[in-house]
Amino acid sequence: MAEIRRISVPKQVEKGEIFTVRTLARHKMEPGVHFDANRFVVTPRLLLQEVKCHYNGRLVFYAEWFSAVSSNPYLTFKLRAEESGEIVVTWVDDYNVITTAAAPIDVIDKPKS
Amino acid sequence: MGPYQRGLVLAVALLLLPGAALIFPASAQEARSGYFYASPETQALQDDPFANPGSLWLEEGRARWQRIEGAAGKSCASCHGDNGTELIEASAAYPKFNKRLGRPITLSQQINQCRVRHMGAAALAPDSEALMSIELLLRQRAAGRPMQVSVDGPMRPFYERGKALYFQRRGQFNMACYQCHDQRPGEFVRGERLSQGQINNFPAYLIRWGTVGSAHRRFQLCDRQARAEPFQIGSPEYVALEVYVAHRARGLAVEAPAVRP
Repeated sequence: MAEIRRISVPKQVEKGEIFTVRTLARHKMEPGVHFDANRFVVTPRLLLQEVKCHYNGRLVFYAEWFSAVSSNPYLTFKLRAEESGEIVVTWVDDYNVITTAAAPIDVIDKPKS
Repeated sequence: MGPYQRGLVLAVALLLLPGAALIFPASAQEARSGYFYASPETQALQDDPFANPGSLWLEEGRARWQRIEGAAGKSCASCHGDNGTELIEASAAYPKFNKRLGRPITLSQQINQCRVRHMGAAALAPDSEALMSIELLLRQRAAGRPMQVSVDGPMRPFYERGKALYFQRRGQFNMACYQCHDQRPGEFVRGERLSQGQINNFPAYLIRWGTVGSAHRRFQLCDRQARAEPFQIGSPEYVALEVYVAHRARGLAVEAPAVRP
């Protein structure tokens, strides 16, 4: 299966603004309980276990996933804009295989009113 | 009021009777895509180009379109161009009659014909991710165009066979397709809301599968739910049924990538 990881953040936000990070990962999220009636075997478990988000190298979001998470999981969360830089989201599966998606963000100062 | 006008009034009154749907099954109803019967959440997922999981298959399809495979050293793009513009009309017109085989074939089967005959590559497994990615890409390019399956000439016997299957009662529940999809669209069967069973949106991402699947796979699911023995994907029975159901959806806009429960 082709590994596809997507991330979307606004291109430009004001300093202090709350913005949404949207992510989508292509993954079967196989819980390891499905029984194949033709081959009499159980499909081995393969899940994305951890999702981490680093904002300019600092860990700002962390999630542990279990077997009830849907296939092709879609995850969004909110962050507060501090400085321009890069947002990196990392998915780690059962075998410690790491996949990432990154997006740049441009933080501008609030216009003085 | 002359006898002609009286007859007209009677005919209009007959059409307005609640039972009119039973007298004129498919033709009396306005054709509606399954999108209409999906929940607002499912509709929202389909409408969001970032979150729509079907778009992941599209992404893979675009990569596969350019991938050179097989003995002839060709990719899909070698013959059909980067955008495959000449295939747009055709993608909305499958199943189509294949003169060489003497029977109609589905879009999936046409892709495999291309692979085996022109690319010298192995046929892809039915409903495999690879096959669904390419098929979904072709359908996405035709999105918004009306379904236009021809049932004239040599297609007629297959259309008739499909129509017979559609109205045939099968399985332990002794049910036929029309009982749900012509007579009761919008009503609930257990937890599921019935649609008209239009296939303008296939291959579609079904949330219950977590993957993109063909209309034939959906037919199998219908059969199992009615406790009937399903046919194989790509079997003559399902191709004939697809001919009837696709023609029934004629005029409906092709929807891809679609999301369904």
